[in-house]
Parts: sequence; structure tokens; C-alpha cells
Amino acid sequence: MLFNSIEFAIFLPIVFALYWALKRDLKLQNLLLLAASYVFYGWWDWRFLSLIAFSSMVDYFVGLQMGKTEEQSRRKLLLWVSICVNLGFLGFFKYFNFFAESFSDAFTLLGTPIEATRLNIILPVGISFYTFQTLSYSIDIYRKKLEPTRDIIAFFAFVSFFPQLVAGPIERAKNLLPQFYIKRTFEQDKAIDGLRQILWGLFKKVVIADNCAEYVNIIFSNPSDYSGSTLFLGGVLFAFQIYGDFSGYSDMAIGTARLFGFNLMKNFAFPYFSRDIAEFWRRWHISLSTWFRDYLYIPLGGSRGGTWMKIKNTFIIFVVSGFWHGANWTFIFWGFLNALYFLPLLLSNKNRRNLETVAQGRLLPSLREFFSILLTFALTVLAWIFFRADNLTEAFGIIYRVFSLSIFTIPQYLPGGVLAMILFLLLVEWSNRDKEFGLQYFGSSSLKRNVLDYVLLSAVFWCIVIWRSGKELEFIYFQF
Amino acid sequence: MKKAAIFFIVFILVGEGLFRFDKEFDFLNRNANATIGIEVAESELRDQVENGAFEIQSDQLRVLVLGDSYIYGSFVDPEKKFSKQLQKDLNRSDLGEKQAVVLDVSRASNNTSDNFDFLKYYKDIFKPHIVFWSYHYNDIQDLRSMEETVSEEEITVRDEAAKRQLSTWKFIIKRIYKTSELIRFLSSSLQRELKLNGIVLPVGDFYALTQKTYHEKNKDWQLTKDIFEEVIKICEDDNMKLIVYKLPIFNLLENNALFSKIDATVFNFFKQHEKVHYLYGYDDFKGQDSYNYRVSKYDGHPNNNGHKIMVDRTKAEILKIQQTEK
Repeated sequence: MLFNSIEFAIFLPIVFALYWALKRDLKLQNLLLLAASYVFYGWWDWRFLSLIAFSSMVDYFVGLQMGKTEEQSRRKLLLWVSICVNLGFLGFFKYFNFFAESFSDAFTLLGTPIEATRLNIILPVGISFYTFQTLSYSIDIYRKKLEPTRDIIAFFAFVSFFPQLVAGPIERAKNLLPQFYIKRTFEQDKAIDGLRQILWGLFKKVVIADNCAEYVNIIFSNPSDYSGSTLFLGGVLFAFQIYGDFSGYSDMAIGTARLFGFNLMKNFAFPYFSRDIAEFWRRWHISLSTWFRDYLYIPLGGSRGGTWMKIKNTFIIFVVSGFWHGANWTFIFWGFLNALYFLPLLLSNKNRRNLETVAQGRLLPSLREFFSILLTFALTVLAWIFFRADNLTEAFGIIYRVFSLSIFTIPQYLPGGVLAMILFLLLVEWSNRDKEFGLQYFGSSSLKRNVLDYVLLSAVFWCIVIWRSGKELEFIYFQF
Repeated sequence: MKKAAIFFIVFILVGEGLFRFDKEFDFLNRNANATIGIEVAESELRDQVENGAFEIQSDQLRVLVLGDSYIYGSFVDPEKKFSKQLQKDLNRSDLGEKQAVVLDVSRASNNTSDNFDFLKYYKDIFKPHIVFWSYHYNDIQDLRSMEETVSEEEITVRDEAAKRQLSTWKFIIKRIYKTSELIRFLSSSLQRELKLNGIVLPVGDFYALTQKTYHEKNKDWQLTKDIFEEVIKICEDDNMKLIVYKLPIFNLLENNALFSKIDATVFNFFKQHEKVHYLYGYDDFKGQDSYNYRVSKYDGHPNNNGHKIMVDRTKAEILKIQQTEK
């Protein structure tokens, strides 16, 4: 079920009403959330429900068993069971064909051609998200940072919680699971805030992302027909498409969870206002970056073991992050490129210099900040070209054209309306850059400010009605 | 309460403003995209016919295709458009010594009188054996001449009269209803959704067309019949066979009952004319899922599959005519 579909518009109010009608019984509420989540997921393909159920079952029992023993070797064995089952599913469904083809290509290069066995398998939606979520549960119990749960309904509901099931944020058991144990009370302000966040997410998805997608698809379907300037514009539009698409989904997920009294972690913090790549990665897909930091980078030694260790671990984390996005060399290169961008900051110890919000307490950024933001954005656009291209050859072809003299020509497409919408998005987000999301209520007793807020809310609502793309496009991150 | 009232007023005003802005500036170029199929197909054959370079030969089976964007194929792959496919299929079938030549003069938004003008023009220079006339239920619109359209002054006079009859408030509400872009959009969106579920509210163009226009006493329908009487006579005089294909609406195949009144009226008219080969298009799509034949949920144009089915039916009818001729 898509958040931007009629089905969801019917599903959500029904679940919401039933949920709060059951407010006296926490267990029933959790059971309802579990049932609703399975309906939500099964709407896409009910056969894959067994996969989530199995994965949840394994981690539930692994957790219980780990809690019963202090024996380190047994705990380790149980952890490996969880890792193998979860990553096994992920590897099979997502990466089998990629590895088979890569091996075949490698042998062909070595002069011994072998035919790759390709499997005709469907990638279960959201598998990368819920796999990482359940894994974090087992790892945290292994590290004794979390007590295993005995409440099977709460645990299954935690793994399949529908607002964030298919595209994150990738929640940590430490944050989300305890919320299933405590009584939730309906708070009007929280619910209104949730609705505002849903509205803003919907705007980013159906107005920004889907309208950008129309041009991006045209430009990237035949890049050799376009000038460097058009291709760069295609990259810029893709940057906003993927931002609108993914952060829009996260906003809708967080907003929806708030309607049910849950707090999910922030997943995007206005990343295109970043002054360097390190800051960008602290603000983009936060739940994934921090997951890799906690469960991969730190166990690898993090930044403790000298320069080479730092460089090696940085490259590993970025490349793995790229690979997480998809079984294609383009994603791996995208990760590699970001690691290259990151390297100078790391080596000069400047990777943590921009921790606070840009231009805090000021209306506008300084000239230096402005150009840093522009440069960072341009670098991310170049990296997005690799992310969006069908293969590396095509991506390098596009980059070659972008750096040719045709970059100085007028782009073959100039979608004024879409660019104006992007400008509107940037203005709204800039004015609220110290808040949780772009449309968060800025709270005021002044009538003038309230009217301004009403105008903004109304404008966003009507923009969705008038300028939605009209095509019910899937979210890009569903494929990851 | 005061806050809610202010919010409601702001909400409506912002909506109205944005709708007007979009209408004025076509902000996301939607209308530009929508006009893509409006141009007439620029075909070599059509140029030749118009320039007098087309040679009439005895071994030809000439078919003239008339209609609107549905038959022109605004959203269909060039090679799969009705006329192209029909010519190809006819030439693959058993036409004896004959070579089929299909001239497509259909054009988006053509109505019955436009098609009639095209027929009169092309019948002399193309000399078709078969005239294929695709009939869309909205071809009845805009038939009357400009003399009958109402001038701005008359509208003002009518408004003044209406104002005198109604109380000020009622008049204001009526004016708002008629001039508000927001209301226009919301009402047409609502009607569009309801239509897809087989429901038509008793207001608006679609209701008027499907329920009120196809009446014996209606001037537009009378005019349509007069035009067709003339068309039939011309075809008889010039020894041309006339095929009238009543188009289904491809996104409403499951709700064809919406058009039952129209279908009955049109059928009753043509059944009086034995020489007309009347094809009821919906017959070929009955019980089918519109998803397979429409351009989109909200667009009734046929897609590649829709054109293919129409071609099959038309080809069969033409071959039948050819057999009878022999």
C-alpha cells in the first residue's frame, strides 16, 4: 500500500479510529497494530508476509535464548544464527543475481567464460529496512544494551510497524520497542503535528519528487541526446526527486506514527543546507548512517587505530552503504565517490566542524556559508548521477558531457514551474531549518503569524491538489 | 471558533488564488502537454492527395477515415494507429488484386460538422470506396453556428434579470458557484470520480450530454441527424460505402450503461438506413477490463490494444463489403 494512494487514505482513518477506541487495552492496541501492519504489507504481496514473520520469529527466539545464558560462545553462536538468517534472506533476494553475474563477468575477463545462473526472483519490498531493524535488536541484546522481550505481539509489531516498515526510518529496538510496552495517550497537539508532517511529506513526494521525475526520466532515458547543462539540470532535478521522495516518505512515516502516539527517529535534517559532505551525511538518511556507524564502523575499530584504519573503515562504510542501496556497481561507485569526498575532511580533522544548524539566529547565511552549501550540493549532484544512471559507462558518459563546453549552453528543458516549486520547498525548509520538519508549527500567539501559518498550510494543501503529478508513482526507496 | 473561521476563509481564498494562478499561467505546462495530439497527422499521402499528386488507380481500395482524437490515436504508437494498422492488415488479407489505401483525415476535437466538411472536401480529390466515420458521443457539441452563441451584452442583460428575480444573497452564491475556479475544480473532480463508479450527478456537461441532448426534440440532435441524412445521400450518390463506428469510452467500459440512452438513440436512427454499416464499438469490449484498453484511469482515449480491436472489427466489415460487391 502506498502512502500516496486512495487505499491508504481509507486504511489510515479506520486503523486510527479502531486504535484509539481500544486505548484501555494496550495488548489489543498492539495486536491491532500488528494486524494492520500485516494488511498494509500484504496489500503489496501477501506471500512475503511469511518472510517477515519468519525473520521476526528467529530474532524473538534468539533474543530469548541469549537472555537465558551468560556463556559467551553460546551467545555468539545465537547472534550468528540471527545474522545468517537475516543477511541470508537479504543476500538471496537482493544480491544473488548480482553476484552470479559479477562472477561470470570476472571469469570471462580471465578467459574462462562461464554462464551465470539468473534467478527470476522478486525483491520483497522493504527487506533491507526490516532486516536491519531486527538485526539491531539481536546485536543490542548480544552487547547487553537491551533486555530481550517476552512480549511476542509487541516484538512482531515492532518489526512490522507499518508507518516505517517498507522505507524506514530504520528504528533501533532501544528506541521503538519500549514504546510498545507503555500506555499511549492521545495528544491532540502531537496528532496535529503528525498531520502537518504527513502533509509536508506528501507535498515533497507528489509535487516535488513526482514532477521532477517526469523530466529526470526523459533526460536519463537518453542522455546522449542532451547537452552538459541539460544533464546537470537532470542531476539537480534528480537530487530533489530523491530528496522529496525519500524524506517525504520519512515525514509521512514519522507523522503517521505520531498519530498513534509513537515517536520515530528523525531521518533527514535538511541535508541540502549542509556546508560540507560530512555534515551532509549527518543529515541524510540518518537512521542508516548511524546504523552503519554503530554496527559496522565502530566494531571495525572506528577512528581509533590511526590514519590508515580511519581511511579503510571510512571506505568500507561508504561502499557498504552504497551496496545496501542496490545490487549494481553504480551504487557501489556512488558510495566510493562519497568516501573520496569525505577523505580530505577526515584527514584534516575537519569532519566535525559544522555540527550546528547553518546560520543559526540569522535570516541568511554568510557568503562563505552560501558558497559552501552550493559546492556541497554540486558535489552531491555529481554523485547522484552515478546513483541514477543505469550503468557506470553511462554515468561516466554523463559526467564527461557535464564537464564539456556544452555546460555553458541553455538547457534543452527549463521546467520553470518545477524549479519554482523547488524554490518554495527550499524557502519553507530554510525558514524552519532548526525544527524537526519543514512545516512544523512555529507556535505564536500573534494573529499575524497564525494567519501566515494558515496561508502556508493552505498553500501546501492546494499545491498538492493542483500540482500533484497525477501518476501514483512508487517511492524510489521501496526497491532498496 | 474565531481561529477556525479565519483558517477556513484563508484556506478558501488561497485555494481560489492558486487555481486562478494555475489557469492563467499553466504553471506546470500541463495544457501544453495535453495539446500534443491536437495537430492533424502530417502524412505523405494526405499531402499528395491535397496537392493533386495522388494517382487514382483502378486496383485501389480507398478508405477515408474521419473522426476525432480517439481514432487519430493521440496516445498511440505511430505504427499502431488505427489507419496505419488498418491499411497494413487489409493489404495482408485477401483483397484480390486490390491494394488498400487508407487516408486518415481525423483530427482531435473534430465534431460531426467538421467531419462532414472533411468528407465533402476529400470525396472529390480522394474518391474513396469506403468512408469510415467514427462517431463519438460528444460529436454533437458545438454544431450550431456562431449566430446562435450568446454575446457578452446579452449575458449582462440576463444577469441583471436574474439578479432582480433572486435575493442578493442567492444571486451572490450563484455567481460564486459559476465563477469560482476552486468550485469548478472540486465539482469536476467529484463528478469524474463518481463517473468512474457509474454515477452521474444531475449537473454539468456530461449529464446534459448523456441524459438530455440525445432527444428527438433537441436541436443539436436534429442537426446531427440532418448532417447524417446528407452524408448518407452523398455516399449513395457517389457510390461510397459508409461505415459508422460508434466509439465506446475506453475508461468507462465497465460503466457503459451511462451511455445507454445515447446508444439507443443513435442506433435507432441508423437502423432506418439499411445502407449504412453501423458498428456498435462497445460490442467488442463488452465485459472487458478497461485497464487494458484505456490511456489512463481518467482518459477515455483508446491505447494500442484498443486501436487493434477497432481495426479488427473494421477490417472484417470491409472484407464483408468486398465479398458482397463481388
